[in-house]
Amino acid sequence: MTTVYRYVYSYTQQERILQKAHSELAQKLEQELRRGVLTLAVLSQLKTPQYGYSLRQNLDARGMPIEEGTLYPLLRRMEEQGLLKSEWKIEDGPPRRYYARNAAGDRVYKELASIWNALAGTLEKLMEGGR
Amino acid sequence: MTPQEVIDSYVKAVAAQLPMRLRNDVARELRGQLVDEFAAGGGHDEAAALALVRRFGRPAEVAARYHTPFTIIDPADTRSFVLAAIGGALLMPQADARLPLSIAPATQSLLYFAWIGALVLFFAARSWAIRRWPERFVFTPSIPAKTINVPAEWAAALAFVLLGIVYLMPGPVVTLFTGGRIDPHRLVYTDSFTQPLRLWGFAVIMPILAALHLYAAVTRRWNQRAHVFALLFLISAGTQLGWHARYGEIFVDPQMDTVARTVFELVGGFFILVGLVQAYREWTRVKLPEMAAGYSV
Repeated sequence: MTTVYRYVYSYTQQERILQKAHSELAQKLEQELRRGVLTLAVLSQLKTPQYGYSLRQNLDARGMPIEEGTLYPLLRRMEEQGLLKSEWKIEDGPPRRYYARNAAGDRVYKELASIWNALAGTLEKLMEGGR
Repeated sequence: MTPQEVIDSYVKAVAAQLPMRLRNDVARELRGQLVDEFAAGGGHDEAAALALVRRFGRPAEVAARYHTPFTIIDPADTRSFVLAAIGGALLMPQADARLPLSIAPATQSLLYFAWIGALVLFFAARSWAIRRWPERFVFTPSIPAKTINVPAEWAAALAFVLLGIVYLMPGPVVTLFTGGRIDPHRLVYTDSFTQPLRLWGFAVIMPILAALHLYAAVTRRWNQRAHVFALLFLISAGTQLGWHARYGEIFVDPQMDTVARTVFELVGGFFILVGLVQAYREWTRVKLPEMAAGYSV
C-alpha cells in the first residue's frame, strides 16, 4: 500500500512540476508577445499628454498591464528616439513629466497601426488553420 | 527608514548607474513615478516602499533600460571569450626550470592576467568595430570540411619524412644543410637518449603520420577515422618531444643539447597545439545529414 501511495505521490508531484514549468513558459511567451506591441500600445494612448503613472493606469484599465519598471524607461527611450515630446508640470502632487506624441510619433503610430492590422488579420487566418 | 528615504535611496542607486547627462533628470522623474505608485498602492511604511522598489527591479537592470549601455564584450562573443581564456590559460608556457623556455612561476601568474587583459581589449575592439562597420562583418561561407588542401597534405607528408630523417641522423643531415659548418661530432646523441624507449617512440610515429597525410592527399579527402588517428599520433609525437626536452641530456655536446631542447620544446608544443585545436574542431564539427539525391541547391 505504501509503495502504491509513494508511486501515486511521486507521479502527482511530477505532474505538478510539469504543469508549473508549462505555466512559467506560457507566462514568459506571453511577456515576449506583449513586449513586441508595447510601443504601439503606448503610442496609441499618447495623443493627449499623460504622465507615467496615469498612462500605466490607463493601459491597465484597457487590459494592457505593463510593469512600472518596463514602462517608465520605455517612455524615455521613445522620447530619445524622437517619437514623443515631454514637459514638466506641477499640479496636485509631485512634479510630473507629461509625455505626448510629436509629429514623428504620429507618423510612426499610423504606420505601426497599419502594420498591426495587417498582421492581426494574417495571424487570425493562420490560427484558423491551426484549430 | 521612512518610505521616502527608501525611495530616494533606490532612485540614487539607479541614477548612479546612468551617464552624467541623464542622471538628475531621470532621478527626478523616477522619484515622482515611485511616489505616485507608492501613494496609489496604499502603503505607509518602510516594508511597503521596499516591496515597491524591489518589484521595480535591480537598480543596475533598471538603469540599463533607460539607455543603451556600453558593452565591453558583446554577449554574442561570450562563448568565444571563455574558450579563448581557458584555452590560452591551458597552453601557457609551463614554469618548469628544466625546460629552456620556462618562465618563473611569479611571471607565469602575471602572464595569465595579461592574457585575460589582452582578450578583453581584443574583444572590446572587436565589438566596437562591429558596431562601427557592420558591413565588414557580414557572413562569409567557409570552405566545406570535405574539401582538403591537397598540396598542404603532400607537404605535411614530406615534412614528417624529413623530420624523421633529421631526428634519426641529426649529424649527417645538419652537416649537409650547413655545408659542413657544424661539426657532425657535436650532434651525437647521449647513450641514455639512444635507449630504444627514448629514441624510437618519436621515430616510429613520423612515417605513420607521413603515410596518413599521403593517404589523404591521394584520396583527396580525410577519412574521419584516419584523421582522428593522425591527430592522436601528432599529439603523441608532441608529448614525446616535450619529454625529451624535459628529462636527461639529448646531445653529448652541452651547447647543442641546449639548442636541441629548445627546438624539441618548440616543435613539441606546436604539434600539441595544432593537434588539440584540430581535435577540438573535429569534436565540435556540426554534422549535417546528406541531402536527398536531386534536392541539392
